[in-house]
Amino acid sequence: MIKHYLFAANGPLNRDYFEDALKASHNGLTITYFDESSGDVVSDEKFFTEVESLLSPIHDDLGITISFLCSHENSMFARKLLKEAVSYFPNRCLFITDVLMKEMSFGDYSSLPELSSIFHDVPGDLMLTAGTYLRCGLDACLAAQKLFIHRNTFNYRLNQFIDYTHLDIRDYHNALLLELYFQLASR
Amino acid sequence: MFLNSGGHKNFMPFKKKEEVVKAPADVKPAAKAEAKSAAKVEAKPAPKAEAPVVEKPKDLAYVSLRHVDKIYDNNVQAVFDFNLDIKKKEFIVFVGPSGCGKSTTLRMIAGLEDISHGELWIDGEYSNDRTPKDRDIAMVFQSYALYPHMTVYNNMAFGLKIRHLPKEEIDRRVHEAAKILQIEEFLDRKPKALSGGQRQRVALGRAIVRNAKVFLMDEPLSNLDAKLRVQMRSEIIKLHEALDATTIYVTHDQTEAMTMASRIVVMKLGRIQQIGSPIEIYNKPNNLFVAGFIGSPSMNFLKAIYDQGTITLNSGAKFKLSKAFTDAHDAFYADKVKGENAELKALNEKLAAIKGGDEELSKQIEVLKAQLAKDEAAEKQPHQVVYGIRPEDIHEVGLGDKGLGDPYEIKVAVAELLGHEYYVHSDFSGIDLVAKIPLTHEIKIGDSLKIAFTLDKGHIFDPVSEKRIY
Repeated sequence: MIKHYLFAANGPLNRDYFEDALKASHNGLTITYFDESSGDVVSDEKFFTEVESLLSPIHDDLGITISFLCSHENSMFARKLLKEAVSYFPNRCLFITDVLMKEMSFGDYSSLPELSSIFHDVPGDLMLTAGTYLRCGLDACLAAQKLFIHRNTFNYRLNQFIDYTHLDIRDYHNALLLELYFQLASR
Repeated sequence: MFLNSGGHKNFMPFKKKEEVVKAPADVKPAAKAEAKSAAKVEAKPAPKAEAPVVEKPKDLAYVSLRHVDKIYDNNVQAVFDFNLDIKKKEFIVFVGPSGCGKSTTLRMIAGLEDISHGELWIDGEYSNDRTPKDRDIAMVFQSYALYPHMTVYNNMAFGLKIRHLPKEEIDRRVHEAAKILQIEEFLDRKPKALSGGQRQRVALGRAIVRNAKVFLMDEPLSNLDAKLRVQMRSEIIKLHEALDATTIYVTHDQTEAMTMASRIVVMKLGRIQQIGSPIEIYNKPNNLFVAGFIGSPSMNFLKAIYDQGTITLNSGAKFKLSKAFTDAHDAFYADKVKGENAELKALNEKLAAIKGGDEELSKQIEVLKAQLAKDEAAEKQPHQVVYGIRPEDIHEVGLGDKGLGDPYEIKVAVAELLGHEYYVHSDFSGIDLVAKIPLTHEIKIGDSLKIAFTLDKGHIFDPVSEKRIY
């Protein structure tokens, strides 16, 4: 599954060495830069564990603090949360849900509008499908049974949901983002 | 979920940055120091000074931290007025329980965290605003901090390549460090093919090759098993001796602190409790916290009444203290009374200046007056103290120890055999008294033992301020 690892450092990056440190650690990385100190690494979900172990030596060698935010897309919302991650979690790699839960646990619901906008245009039946899928512990067969629909219909609707939101909730962290939305929206 | 989170700040309530009232951005460190007390009360996030001009103090050590505070953006203060001068080649250990601010302080020295107030000087250079790269420090982490895809050689060489050192020089330094750490045979291996101890040696190697001014070690042995930890502990000490490097080492393990440090900094809730050599900290703990934290098993604390040189324990046991104890007791309370009188005077003046009075301040004055009356009477009247005695200063009667007080009979509640000695637990007037008893005969649960305290090794503490009286 493709993931975006948005990163931001506290100073300009020496791109050659930064890429040297990152690229050899994992196959199939694509790095694009927003500016001299931030950018986006596109890779699979396994890169998360790799990047975590790289942050300390990178800090030690390049003399910069850097934070990564793993997101399903490179959106303005993700970039906003990246800024928060840099401030609160230097030299760490986080998921969007980590930052959101941090906000929520201290009564800060300011990200709700941006989070809601991800699901804004999704038809109600698709939201019901996705919600049931979560409630069934990501068990597609069980969710189809609960919705009284054929498994293929369920798959079709789930894919439609993913097309609308770009959020593949078959992945645990993406599913958690949807769950957080439900929790926040219910407030 | 918060996979990497640890330490203090991640569990603090936080507000959105926009809600935080920021101080002017052009505040200079000198001004910051003056404004420090006010800032602490309001705990507002500190501004980051821009290229400040700071007057260099004359009495700087190799690494000096002056009135350093750490206040997070969420208005939570993690470190309070941290002052420390570290000499060149010293091995300083920050020790304390989780959340005491030791790692935060280390991260401020490393440049991983901004310093909210105060000054950091490294080798005579004002370093608050220097980037981590420019501070010339090397850091060793608990998680080894190695590039998983690079060989040991490349892991050690990478930092030097970035600094554009010649290939020959890099090669020389890597091999030299590998020789010191006895990892020459692993230079071609990748970290995953190494054991935990070997990985930590490589991490140390990465620091050594840098020839850094200061080594910072953040719980580097915590990931190792107990046996390897002891081995690596001695290796780090040897390494420190060999390299003569200035080292700041963070640990929560008081045994590591005691065995490795030239000086220990004991911390609790962001404040320094005591700075001293291991022997000073062990023999003359400043307060109940230090006394309880340093030493294993912990010091026993018994409620007692002090009456003109005599201690009466809760159990009814009585013993006379030496003149040194009574002199220290009288001096302690004389000092305390003096301080409280001064404080009372200041509070009264403050109250007089407030039109219509201040209820809270009046209450504060009443409390202080009551405490002052107690402390004034302490010299002549019986009063409560805490008597502290270490398990190693409690002996079984009849084993030939000198300087013992009267014997007490105890019933063994738990007897932990460690090979050469027992840790004997017993109920001593409601307190779990622990004694270290050498293995001369078998001790079982329910046995009766006659024990006695080495009286001149005991300590007395003031129960209110928790400070050591003697």
